[in-house]
Amino acid sequence: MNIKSYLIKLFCFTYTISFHQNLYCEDSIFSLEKKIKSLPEKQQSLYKDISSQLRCPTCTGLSVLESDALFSLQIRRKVIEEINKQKNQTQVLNFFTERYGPWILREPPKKGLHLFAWILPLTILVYGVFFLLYKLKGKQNSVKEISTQRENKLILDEMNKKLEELRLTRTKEGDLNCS
Amino acid sequence: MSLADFGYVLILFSFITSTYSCLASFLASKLRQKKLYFSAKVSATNSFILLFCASIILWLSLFHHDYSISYVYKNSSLDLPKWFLISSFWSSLEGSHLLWTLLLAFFSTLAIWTHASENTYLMPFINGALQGIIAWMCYLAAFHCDPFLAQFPPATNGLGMNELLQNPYMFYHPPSLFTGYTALAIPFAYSFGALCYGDTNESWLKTMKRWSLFAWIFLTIGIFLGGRWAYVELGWAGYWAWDPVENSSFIPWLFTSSLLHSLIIQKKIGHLKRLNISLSFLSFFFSFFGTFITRSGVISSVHAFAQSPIGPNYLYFLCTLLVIAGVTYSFRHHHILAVNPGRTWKISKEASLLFAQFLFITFIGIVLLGTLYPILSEIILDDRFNVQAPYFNTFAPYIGFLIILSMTAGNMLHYGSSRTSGSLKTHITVLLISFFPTVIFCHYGQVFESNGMNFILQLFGVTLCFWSLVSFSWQLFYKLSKKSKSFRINLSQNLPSIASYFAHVGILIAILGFLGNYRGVNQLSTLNVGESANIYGYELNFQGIKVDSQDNMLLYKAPLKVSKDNKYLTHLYPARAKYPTKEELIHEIDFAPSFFHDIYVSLIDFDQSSGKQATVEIHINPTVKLVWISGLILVFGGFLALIATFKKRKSILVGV
Repeated sequence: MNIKSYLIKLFCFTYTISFHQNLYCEDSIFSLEKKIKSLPEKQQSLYKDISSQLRCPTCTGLSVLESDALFSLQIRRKVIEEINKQKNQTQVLNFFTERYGPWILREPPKKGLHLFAWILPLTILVYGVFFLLYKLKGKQNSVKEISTQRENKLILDEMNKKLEELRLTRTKEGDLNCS
Repeated sequence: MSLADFGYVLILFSFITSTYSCLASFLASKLRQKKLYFSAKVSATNSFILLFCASIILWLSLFHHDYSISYVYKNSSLDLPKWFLISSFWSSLEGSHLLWTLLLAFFSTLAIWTHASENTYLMPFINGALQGIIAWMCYLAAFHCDPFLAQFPPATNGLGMNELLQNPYMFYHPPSLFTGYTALAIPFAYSFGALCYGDTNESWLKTMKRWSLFAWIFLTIGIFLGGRWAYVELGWAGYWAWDPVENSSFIPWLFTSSLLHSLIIQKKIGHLKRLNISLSFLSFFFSFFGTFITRSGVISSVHAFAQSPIGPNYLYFLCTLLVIAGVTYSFRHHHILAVNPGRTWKISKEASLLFAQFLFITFIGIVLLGTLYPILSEIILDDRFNVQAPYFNTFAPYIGFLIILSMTAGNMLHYGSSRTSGSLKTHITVLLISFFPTVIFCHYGQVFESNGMNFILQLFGVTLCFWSLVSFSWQLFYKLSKKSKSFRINLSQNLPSIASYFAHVGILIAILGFLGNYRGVNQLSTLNVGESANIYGYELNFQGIKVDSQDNMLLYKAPLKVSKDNKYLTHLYPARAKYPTKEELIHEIDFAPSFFHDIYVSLIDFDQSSGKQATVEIHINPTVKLVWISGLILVFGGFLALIATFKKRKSILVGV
């Protein structure tokens, strides 16, 4: 190893130390984990339920439980505080919605206009199946109609005439032959 | 004039040539001028060559560290390894836009020179549509997101590439996804051509199938690579979070899968022609729509979108596209008629394929609603509501199960009849056989260890998957073991069935992987040198922080010796990486894959003064490996199907 790269390493090492000095202090993930372990089991699962329903404000698509970002850790700590006040799940979630707005939740609440978002997929799924069956059955019916129509010679002749016309126009369009 | 200016001029020129090509081809089809169309064709080829030269110039500037170009300055630095200098081309908006344009130009040039003699009457419309899109892309590249914008005064070193993108998977992920997106333009153009001309024929169908299969394969590769990247780079031990960027790649994939299935119906019975046309329109539209919502910032806030350089322009384009496609469709669709309209559907293979179409489209609807919900709620209720993973995960399993049911049923049935291949006895045997792998999987996979999902749902899903898997395998075996022909002839004749077998098995294995609840047990432990963490029968022994350098980064590794029952297995090196261009430390996770679960370790924290203490987060992720395997199988199946379209088949095509 040459001296230059060694110096760079040394510099980086000391630099990061100075930058991350306060990692083992009060608000590190380590102390948080200790707090969680000290909770009774029932509250631990409550904590997991609640924090998996709150979004991490600084990442995309993750809950605070899944993320180790500073903001998420703060929220997780707050969740534990609220649980310790003997609040239940909806109370804690309400607390956060009041504080940060509904933006903090990971899914729309199941009330008011938002019910639309929950019911719509279900409705489509259930009614769609019946609609499809109905349509397919309708096709069967139309076969009978068409077969009676087909017996009608007049209509058949007319169709043939139309077809002939179509064919003629097609051959005209066929002039454009460029490959 | 510097090289960068030259590149800019090339883009301008290609804007002119594509505009000419677009106008000339529509004029040629109107005036029936063969030579005019030929000039349009040459002009289109030219615009690809010009764009290719422009891209080469950008690559050269990246390689020569020409920091007088703003894009090079912002996305690369002197310390960047050569490998990533290539990929820094698509690490930001301007470059990826250029790559997109380049690929689009390449595929459209390919599309107008191949299959031309079979689709003579459609070609002018196809070329016109494609070149229109390219002209607009070039306009954007030239006037709104110029990759050759000057940096003044020129810097001596660049700002560096985003550290998260300095990963081999990010090297392949964007180009393959873009290949998929841009290849979708060809089915779109063919459908547009069919509408303008007023009919579809056999060769139209063949070309559509080839291009949509090609696009589907690359979309699949892109999505799986993206998931893999998230898994190894982001450090949250998952690969899919249903975030808008992921959804916007998933929606075109679903549309293309749906299109591939309805093309089969058209081939076999000559129905659903209009559905095919609309599906190819929509798949292309949504590949752009995805770019729009992710690139314009509209998803983070409706108001952020005005600040992005291309947001409003994308919106204009999308609206124009929608209007043109909609108007063409509504005026011309009555020319596209089904063969034999009086056909009965009954319970048959085509009916189950149709049912699968419905499920695909419903799924797309749900994903779209979830993705756009923040925007919709902001517009309607004036308050942003998020829709994240829990919402999608409520519906996805049921749709997945229904899809499995319909595909297994469809595989058993025949076209035009409700007779299943195989007697009741064989069906029961298949069901009974499928219990064995289910039990084995549940026992060794230990998928029920963590409580993320409803137990009954999970068990039902696993059983269903294995039943379907065995049923598919049995059907293939039945087809291949016909005694009248030799095995080789059977194999080559049944290539499409084999391809479809692999594609469907891939999906089933992927669903098994998803059901395994990839985020299993996890544990956070702080270890001193020599101490061990015990999780799930594994023992991870910490051996002190080591400093190591690799390419441009400095790694703080925390070596962990993994052993099970006092038997040494492997070493894991979760690390934190220090890049010269960034002060923060970036996660570099490490994992040991075994067949049924991954041991996934990320280094959360370490004592930087002594290096004798570290906090690691250990995840046991069951069945993740199945997801990666399924990706490979899917792509293999896709390629087989693509090869099968090039083989001449003796059977007569019915529904033209």
